[in-house]
Amino acid sequence: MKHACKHVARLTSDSFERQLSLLEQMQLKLHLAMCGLCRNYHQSIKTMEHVFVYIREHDLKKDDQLSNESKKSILYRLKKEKMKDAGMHKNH
Amino acid sequence: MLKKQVDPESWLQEHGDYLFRYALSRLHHEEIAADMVQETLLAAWRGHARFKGDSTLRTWLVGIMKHKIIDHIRKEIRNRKINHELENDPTSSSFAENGAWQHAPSAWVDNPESRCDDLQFRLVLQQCLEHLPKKQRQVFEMRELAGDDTSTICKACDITSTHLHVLMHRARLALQICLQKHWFGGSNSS
Ligand SMILES: [Zn+2]
Repeated sequence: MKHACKHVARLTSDSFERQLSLLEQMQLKLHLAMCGLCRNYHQSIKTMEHVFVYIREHDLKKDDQLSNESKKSILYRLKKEKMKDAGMHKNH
Repeated sequence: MLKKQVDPESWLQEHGDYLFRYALSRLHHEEIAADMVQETLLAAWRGHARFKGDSTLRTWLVGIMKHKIIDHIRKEIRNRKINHELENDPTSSSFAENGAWQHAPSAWVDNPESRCDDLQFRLVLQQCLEHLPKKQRQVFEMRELAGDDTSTICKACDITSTHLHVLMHRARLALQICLQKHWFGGSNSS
């Protein structure tokens, strides 16, 4: 049954991506019951998922900011766009 | 009636940094991230009549930005033709020819959930992500950091769902190996 580890690693990942078929669920369960390495792998992938859920919910880098230069150039573009609009309205 | 209050400059003041962080966490490039903020605010300004006010302004802006980011990724894929970056396959070295483990996954004793606010852990995680092949990383981050669903990712990257599952599997395996090596394995600081 050792040859199945590679397959089981794939199933482990897929179980977070799609609904496994009944057969696949059986294969996974059976194999995990008797293979310690795959159990470790399965558990670590699960842990990893929790980490990313946590990260998703708590925005990561909280201290990054737009540079002043970027801000200035964006402001400039916005003002230009606003003026364009104002000009258009006058023509009507 | 909303018209009076529409002021894109104040959007920039209030939401600019947030949008910037959002784009940066997806694209990892400050200049491009700043461009995305600009594109988003310009598009928002042009389309502000469509803002119904049934979501918060920030949610609305982020929605626009998501589209901008996907457009950007699409363009990048088209330009670089990285569509077939599949050779980089950690599964080849992780398993013996008969499919048995060659690198032994260990049980992760440490509880990483409690580690999420640990800067050092974040750094290691970030570095492991950066070592993923480009395509794997892109797909993995859309999935795990942006929380995008399968169809969104498949459309943006022009891949099938099977292809996506393969890439996710390879990315997970590579990350597992990397984190085990650099965090959960060996050097347990006492
Ligand atoms: Zn196994």
